[in-house]
Amino acid sequence: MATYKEIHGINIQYRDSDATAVEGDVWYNASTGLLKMHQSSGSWAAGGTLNTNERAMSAGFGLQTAAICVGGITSPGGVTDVVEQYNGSAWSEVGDINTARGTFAGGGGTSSSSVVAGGSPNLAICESWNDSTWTEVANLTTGRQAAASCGTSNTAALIASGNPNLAIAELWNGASWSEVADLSTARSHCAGAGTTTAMLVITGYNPKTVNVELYNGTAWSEQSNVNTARYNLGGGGTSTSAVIFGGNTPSIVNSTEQYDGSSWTEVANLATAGNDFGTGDSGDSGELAIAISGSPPSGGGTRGTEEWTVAASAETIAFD
Amino acid sequence: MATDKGFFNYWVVENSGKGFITHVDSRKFWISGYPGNVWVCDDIPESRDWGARNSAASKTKSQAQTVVTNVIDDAKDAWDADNEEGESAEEKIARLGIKPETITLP
Repeated sequence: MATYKEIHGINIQYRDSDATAVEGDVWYNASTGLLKMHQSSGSWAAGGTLNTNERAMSAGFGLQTAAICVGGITSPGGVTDVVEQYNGSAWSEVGDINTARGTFAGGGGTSSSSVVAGGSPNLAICESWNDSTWTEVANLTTGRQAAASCGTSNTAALIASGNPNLAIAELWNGASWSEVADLSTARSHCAGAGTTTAMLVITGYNPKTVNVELYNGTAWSEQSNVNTARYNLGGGGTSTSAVIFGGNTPSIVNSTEQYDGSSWTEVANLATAGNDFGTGDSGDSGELAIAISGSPPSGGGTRGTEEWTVAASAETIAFD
Repeated sequence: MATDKGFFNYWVVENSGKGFITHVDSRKFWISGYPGNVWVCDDIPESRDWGARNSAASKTKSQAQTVVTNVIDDAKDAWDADNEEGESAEEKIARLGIKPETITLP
């Protein structure tokens, strides 16, 4: 077995403190007598609580510090038009959407500039948000719900797949939707991450599939499969740094997987199992994400949110 | 004082939002939420501090299990009673989600 020095070219250092470490460093803290290493790991923490309506199947976009939650299912058969914005600590109500609905096809953008598309039952209607009001814009070519989506503003979004078991993808340019290349695997109730020129469509229902596809602005290609097939999940990030969480297997789960552009790794679980999250695309990497509302194992909706953060820290190396 | 906790603490408290569970909490101890505002944590000093910080009500495992079971049983009954004429089993699942499943606490 190779030694630490053979791998790194130096011996394990003796230090008086844990400061100024970089990821991967291993050192002996002479003050505390502990062997330490600097490593990155992710964790979930409680985020702000939505003000109105326990809900699920909303549309959600943005960052941990600037997100938006749009509409949703408030009870079996009930829908809401309420929209709330998040500033990283608290949610506040802003302008309502024009058509109350849930189970969106998705959409994309930021908390101040976004577009929402489709919804139950397989609607084609779309609305654009300019940080002040919602305006009806051109319909999707193919009405749908529970698709994967991503986007950067109210002039750039991509909707892919969706119920009823579609392979069709459509690109929004701020004025109209146009079909782009079809996915190889039709599906619905999946997750999306990335941008309109670098988008992942992740797992979903087909029946349930582990399949992941990447769009490069022209065509779709197969990527590494997720570890656990699931649907009604949440997810976000970029095409090279993404995270998925919760969903149905068909049981409602709390497991989380992180993607590094090459493979998926099981990481820390959500505090509370859930599905049908409001999270659509996240503009952050897969190291920062937000799970908005969702449905717990007892059904219905919630007002709670959770925030996913990967951070480096000095950890003690324990010996049995 | 709880007598059947084993390696876990059982709490009942409503999620109060930001700060309820912090990243520091999540890194220090395992915590998992269940229906009925039931929370299960590793039984270590840091998780007991978390319970005190959030004014959580400490429960025995059997008490916590009863809370969860009652919520799930109510949800199952509501799911069974919510039917639409002519709706297939698949359509009902699409409308309501799967029927809530029994949960056994660790």
